[in-house]
Amino acid sequence: MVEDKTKNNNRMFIAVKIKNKYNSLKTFLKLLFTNKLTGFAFVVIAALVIIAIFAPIIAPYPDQGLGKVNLDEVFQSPNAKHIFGTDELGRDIFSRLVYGARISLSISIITIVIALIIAIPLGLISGYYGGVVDEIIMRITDIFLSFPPLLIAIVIASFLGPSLKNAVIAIAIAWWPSYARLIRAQVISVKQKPFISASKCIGTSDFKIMLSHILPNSIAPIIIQASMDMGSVILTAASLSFIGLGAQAPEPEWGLIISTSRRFIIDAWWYTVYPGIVIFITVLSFNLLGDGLREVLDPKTRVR
Amino acid sequence: MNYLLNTKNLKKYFPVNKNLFNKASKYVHAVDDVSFSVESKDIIGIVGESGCGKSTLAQLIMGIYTPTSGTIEFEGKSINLQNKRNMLAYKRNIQMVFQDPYWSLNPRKMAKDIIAEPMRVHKTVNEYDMDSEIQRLLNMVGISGDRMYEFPHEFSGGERQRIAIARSLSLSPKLLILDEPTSSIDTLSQAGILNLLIRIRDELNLSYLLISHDLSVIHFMSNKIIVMYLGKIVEMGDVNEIFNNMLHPYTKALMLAIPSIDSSGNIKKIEALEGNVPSAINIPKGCRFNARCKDCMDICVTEEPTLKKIDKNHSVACHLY
Repeated sequence: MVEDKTKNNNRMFIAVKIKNKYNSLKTFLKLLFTNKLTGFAFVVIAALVIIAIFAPIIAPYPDQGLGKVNLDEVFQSPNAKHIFGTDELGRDIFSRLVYGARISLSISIITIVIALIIAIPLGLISGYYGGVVDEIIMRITDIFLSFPPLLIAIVIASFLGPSLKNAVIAIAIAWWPSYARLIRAQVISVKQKPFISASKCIGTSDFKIMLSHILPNSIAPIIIQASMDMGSVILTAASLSFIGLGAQAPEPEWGLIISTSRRFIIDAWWYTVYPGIVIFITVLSFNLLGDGLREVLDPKTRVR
Repeated sequence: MNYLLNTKNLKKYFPVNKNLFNKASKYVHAVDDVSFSVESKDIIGIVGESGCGKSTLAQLIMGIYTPTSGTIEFEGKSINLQNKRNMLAYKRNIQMVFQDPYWSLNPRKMAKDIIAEPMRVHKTVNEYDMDSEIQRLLNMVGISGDRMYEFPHEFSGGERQRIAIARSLSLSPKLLILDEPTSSIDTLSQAGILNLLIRIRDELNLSYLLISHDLSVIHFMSNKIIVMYLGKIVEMGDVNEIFNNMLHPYTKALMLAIPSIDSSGNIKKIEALEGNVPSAINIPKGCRFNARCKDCMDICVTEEPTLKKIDKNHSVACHLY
């Protein structure tokens, strides 16, 4: 009898939780689309994700997208058959860019996830405990931050050897210190709030306080920064590929495509311009989305 | 006498300018030599200006800060702040309600989870009985039990403070520290919360340590008063004794600063105390109140007064008496 009641209660609890989640998602999307630019960026990124997932269906020449040579149709300017033209080996550039979306998106997501996995625990510990631990962690991040991230990435990538995997590792290592600083600053402001003192009064362990009270209340700026950095990471990966330290031919990485095209820029403008436009739009969209998220996630703009 | 809580010579100095290379040379004397005791069912009011060490005292008793020196005894047993298991047992007996109801509840947690946190940490209630327990607590503080799935921002200021009270009651403590529980709430909700606190005390046999700078709240609630100035107790005693026969010039100044309206609508003239609280880093020599005191004598500048018993239930630290 009693168990039935608690079961019922639990079921109601889960239902309410789902309803709350659904409602907050709905308001979130609504807020995201109130700003037209953010809505545009969101649509572009959603489209990119769909393109990346369904690349074999969307690309007209999937085998060429992966690098199969087609010497019969070298350097064709954009036409009905090849809407973005073909490259020096006769491959359809549109197909290559579609497959490139897979690489670029996965690079940026994996890089940022790795960077966050390093940065979140360090930032939490540094901000929460302060003192000597904080000094040590922050001086290490200072060392990293005193070099431009691209330079560190170049050094690490050339040290590990040129490949896509190493480029990801290199960029992640170059990127985590800025996140660690951001998280630390956020943790320091959140840990002074009375609800943290309240948890300490209760006797909640430090680990639990960090995980269930501090982290959820300091994650918003990190989400914003991460979404803005997605674009920068794509750019950095493209730069590394451009100088030969990232993806290796015949991988359809966007930066690598531009790098190869540079030799033919006068005879085949489409070879450079279309990948450039794709990178430009992607990076711009991530930046716009980040800006929009800043507004949406700011509690002051939230409807009470 | 059986005391619930007993503090002896409690001191807390915060170091200033301390870093990896420098040892602190100066200290903020936040709480300086405070001794008092709480009997069961007492409501002790602690008054004083901002920065006089009221909140630090509360956090010392709560174990958030470790005292520089001095001891805290609970039910006759001295509390060892280093021993985690002892601290957990101690915290089950003594809980705190904070001043700011807007930030004392995690904005990302439902009322249910906020109230459940103490019971989950201390494992006093199992998950099956949790919901009914939370509903019982919410009803006790006058909030409908179905609102347990709402988030803090869906409640008003007064309701949030009620949730904070429900959370602090969830471990059935014996002593509740109330750190200015009504100072950031509108007057009507304030009255509701004060009545609620009195009702709960009678139902559950609680004792309160009520920190406030509002003497009218203290007069309404307490049976004993402690007046603090710059980390020290300057006057202490039964509430009626102090309100009828206040001795320390600082207590008198506090009393004169209460604005009030009598039944015929006359507004009482209020007098503000001249000057500011001196810095707690460079404590003035002699009596800490000497620079602002109307009755300052020669001895006040050279010698610090100690807390003297004037009457059975009244002590004061002043050279005048």
